[in-house]
Amino acid sequence: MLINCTLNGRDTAIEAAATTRLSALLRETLGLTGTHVACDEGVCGSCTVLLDGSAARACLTLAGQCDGVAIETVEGVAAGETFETIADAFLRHNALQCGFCTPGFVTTVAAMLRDDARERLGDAEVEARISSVACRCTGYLPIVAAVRDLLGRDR
Amino acid sequence: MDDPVPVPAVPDYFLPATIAEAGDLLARHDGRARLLAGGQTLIPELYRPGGTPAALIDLRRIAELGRIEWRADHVEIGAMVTIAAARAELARAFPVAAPCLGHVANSAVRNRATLGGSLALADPASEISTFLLAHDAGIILAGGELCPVDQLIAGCADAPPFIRAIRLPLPAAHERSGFAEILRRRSGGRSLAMALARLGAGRARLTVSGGTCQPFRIEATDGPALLDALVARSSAFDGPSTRAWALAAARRAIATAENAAC
Ligand SMILES: Cc1cc2nc3c(=O)[nH]c(=O)nc-3n(C[C@H](O)[C@H](O)[C@H](O)COP(=O)(O)OP(=O)(O)OC[C@H]3O[C@@H](n4cnc5c(N)ncnc54)[C@H](O)[C@@H]3O)c2cc1C
Ligand code: FES
Ligand code: FES
Repeated sequence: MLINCTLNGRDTAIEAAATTRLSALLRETLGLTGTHVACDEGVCGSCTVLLDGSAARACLTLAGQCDGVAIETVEGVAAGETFETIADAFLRHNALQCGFCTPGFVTTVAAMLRDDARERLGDAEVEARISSVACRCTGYLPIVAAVRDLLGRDR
Repeated sequence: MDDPVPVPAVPDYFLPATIAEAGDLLARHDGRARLLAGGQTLIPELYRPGGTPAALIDLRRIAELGRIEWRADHVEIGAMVTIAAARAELARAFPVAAPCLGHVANSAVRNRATLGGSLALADPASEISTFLLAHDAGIILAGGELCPVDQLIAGCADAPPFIRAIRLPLPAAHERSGFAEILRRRSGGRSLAMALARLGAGRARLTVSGGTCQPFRIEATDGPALLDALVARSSAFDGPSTRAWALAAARRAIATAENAAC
């Protein structure tokens, strides 16, 4: 099946079996290995990408579901203008240790910043979105601090 | 990390534009095709041994299934509306939608998972089933037939019918409602029990599920009477711990409703 999509801002046509997981397509076929994979079941969030601007699990997305869709991976976010601010906040707050979960947080936080600029997100929503990605190292408090800092909110 | 990635045998992949076309495809494959909604449950299933159907019928191009239509006394929500969208759109008319649907999975899964896909799974621990049953939802099937949600859930155990939309009567403006769920871990996971309370003038309603017990409704005159009625029904639950969790969820849901602003 020919998948016509926008990948990190560029119109792209990819030939793939419709049932290929987007996570595998990105990593194996396109060499975009910033999208990490651990559980393949939607639980851990390390494969989180943005589909038409919303956070989604690449492991729970089929290539066939991407035709006509704008896909943004962590590589796309990293090339964008907000990335430096995100990276800076994460480093300042020690919001990563081994870094395995970090791509999932970067994409999740990028979507959060855009959504919050449109309409202020409640604290519970911010917390819920942070807990959609699993981190086994930090204990979350530094990540919460980094995100609240990015959103311009008190600790 | 270089394990070859297994890709299931490739089924035919269809993107019909109308319900009729999707229905024809289903019929033509004689039970060997699967409807694909958000894929949040179906995709891992495809990758399990023996999980590959002959065809996948992706419903996302059928505009009608993605609509939310407000009427004077009810709202009709297309089967392909995501949980995230339903939660946002229903928040004002159904104050309990935000806490209840916010318990489903995680925010990224909610962006993709749909109401139709959730209903078809008929998982007793689904907040969607409890929410819809609590609000007397009717399910509109592809052919236009209207089926009460509890009847649909019972029927889904065999083969779920093709769901077109959900019809939700609007609650009275003065109604107070509350939702509570008992979890093993604060950050989520499968619910042990959940309850949704609706308190109106002289009429109190409670919908409870727990363990493997599908949600059921109880009606009484007020909150305390609901709890008595639930105790009387508690043999519906698998065992003493589920009974206890269900009662705990019910107490909390009723307390939340009692406290809620109208
Ligand atoms: C990590 C994780 C956690 C989860 N936690 C929860 C939770 O806490 N609570 C909860 O309720 N759910 C939970 N879920 C389930 C999630 O809500 C489901 O994946 C979702 O409900 C299925 O919806 P879907 O749109 O993705 O359907 P799909 O996965 O696409 O389909 C599911 C089934 O429904 C059928 N189907 C789809 N659309 C229709 C239709 N219109 N008519 C008839 N049949 C149809 C499909 O053929 C398939 O059999 C969780 C899922 C994940 C991955
Ligand atoms: S690999 Fe996709 S959520 Fe874990
Ligand atoms: S930094 Fe190691 S898992 Fe998050």
